[in-house]
Amino acid sequence: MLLGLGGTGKTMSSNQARERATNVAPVERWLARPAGGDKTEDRLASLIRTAGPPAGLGAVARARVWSRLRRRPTSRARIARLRWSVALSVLLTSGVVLGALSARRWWPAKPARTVPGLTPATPHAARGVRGPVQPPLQPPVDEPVPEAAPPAPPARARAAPHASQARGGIVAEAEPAARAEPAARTTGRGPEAISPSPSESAGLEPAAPSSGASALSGETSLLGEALLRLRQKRDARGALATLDEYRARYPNGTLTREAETARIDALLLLGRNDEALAELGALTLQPVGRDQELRLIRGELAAATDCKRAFVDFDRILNEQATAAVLERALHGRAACRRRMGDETGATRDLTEYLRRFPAGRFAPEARRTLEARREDL
Amino acid sequence: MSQAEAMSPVRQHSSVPADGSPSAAAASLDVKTIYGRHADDVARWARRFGGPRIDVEDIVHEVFLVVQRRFHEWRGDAQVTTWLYEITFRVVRDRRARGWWRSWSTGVIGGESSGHGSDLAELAVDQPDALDLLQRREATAALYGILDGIGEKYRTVIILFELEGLSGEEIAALTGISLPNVWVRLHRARQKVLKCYLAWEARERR
Repeated sequence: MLLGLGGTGKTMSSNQARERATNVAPVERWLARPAGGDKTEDRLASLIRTAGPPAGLGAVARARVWSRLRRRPTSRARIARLRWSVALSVLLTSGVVLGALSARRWWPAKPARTVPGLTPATPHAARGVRGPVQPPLQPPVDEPVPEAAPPAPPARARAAPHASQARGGIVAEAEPAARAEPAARTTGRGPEAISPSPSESAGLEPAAPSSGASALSGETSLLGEALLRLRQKRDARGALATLDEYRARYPNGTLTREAETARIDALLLLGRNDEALAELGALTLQPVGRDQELRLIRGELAAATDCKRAFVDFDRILNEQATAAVLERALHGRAACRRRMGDETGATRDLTEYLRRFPAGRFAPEARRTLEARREDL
Repeated sequence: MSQAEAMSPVRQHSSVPADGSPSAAAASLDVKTIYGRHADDVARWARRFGGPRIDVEDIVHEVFLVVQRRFHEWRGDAQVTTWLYEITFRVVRDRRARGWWRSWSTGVIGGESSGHGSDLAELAVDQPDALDLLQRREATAALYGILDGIGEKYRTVIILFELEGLSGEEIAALTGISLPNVWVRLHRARQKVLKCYLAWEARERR
């Protein structure tokens, strides 16, 4: 059944009407009502009380916002909208320009295909077909080659058919005689464009790779070998030997950090914890990802001998964003260190917090035992 | 007076200024003075309306941009706190309404706070105990998680009524809906919150 709503033209069902009739009375606030009524409401009220009133801005933030107000009288949202408008305008304009260029590039190609007399021998026709990035075609065969194109390594040679297929379709139609090979030599694109024939490449000196690329390639190869030994063959000793060689050859290499991390893994696998700890001590660790895990490992290794140092690492992790697994180990580690340093209250608090957050955690039975023993002592 | 009531300018202040002269109130204030006196209040209200994930500094900035822009229009016929409260409410509401766009365009969910030292400030000023702070934060996150699950119009009335301590009439005036509608919405909102709360409890127990 539907009822009219006083001239608004809207209707509502009888259920809605009943609800309206019963639910227009004022209600009592959860926080104001006396406890002991509805248990769920009591618990919810308790949650609201625990959340407490929100904090203010703080002096530093207040000063920062004021300086923003004075410096930039536009809201961040407005600036974001402005940026998006500009980006969209640029995108649209470039789209139109590119569209126009494409149209200009492709339309002249049609007469080139259909009228045999218009070969792309002239620079203008070549541009029409191949596009502005290519220099005009030169008279090909017998002229000396001004610069030596490096011989194509296998990977490049494989890439060449793809390149010529992508760009050469219309060239092949428009200019069956003067094909891409001379063009490749004169454009300087060399083997990326079209791989030279063996006879051509035989007489050319291979261009020496730059020393930077060569060093990086050597580094990659050595580190790759070390990681292969470490991760797939589980040969930590062999990996360590390779990493020693890496360290000797590339003391300031691009991949040094990765090599040091692999070295720590290898040392840990071999049980050489002291050395691993020394290596970890030399690293600057970031508060995220693998670095955070390394910080945790450093704390756990240090805990055996130097709880103060370990405590700093655990404490720092617990003040950062971290995964549950990392937080669990850090919390347990901090509790253990606190106990060793004589801070029983802090340790009890950490263990209680540990049990609250990880009731079925790896160290939960141990934590319960410790807390019970502590209660008995008291 | 409850904590929530103490925070609410709509309840705390009548619409007539203390000296009875609207223009005198406006004449004695400038934006800098208002900012100095009430930036903290605005931040608290923003956190209350927006929850723990709102970028409070950004909201305060935007509120005072509105104040700068509209200051000449404000004739002092209402308390400055009432005026600021209404601006804050609207800015946060708009910001939340645009949340999906912001999260899509910036990759930041709900305009999450960049947290420029706010934790340190909170620790130093209000919370001597990190564990208390942690509990408070978790409770706040849980509470706003529940509130975020009930729909914006219900969330608004629940926050204004249960957390801010506003009366039905004040909510009606602030949100522009009729008083009977406020109560109907509130009844529904409370049912929804309880349902979400039970679901949250069940998840926590698992």
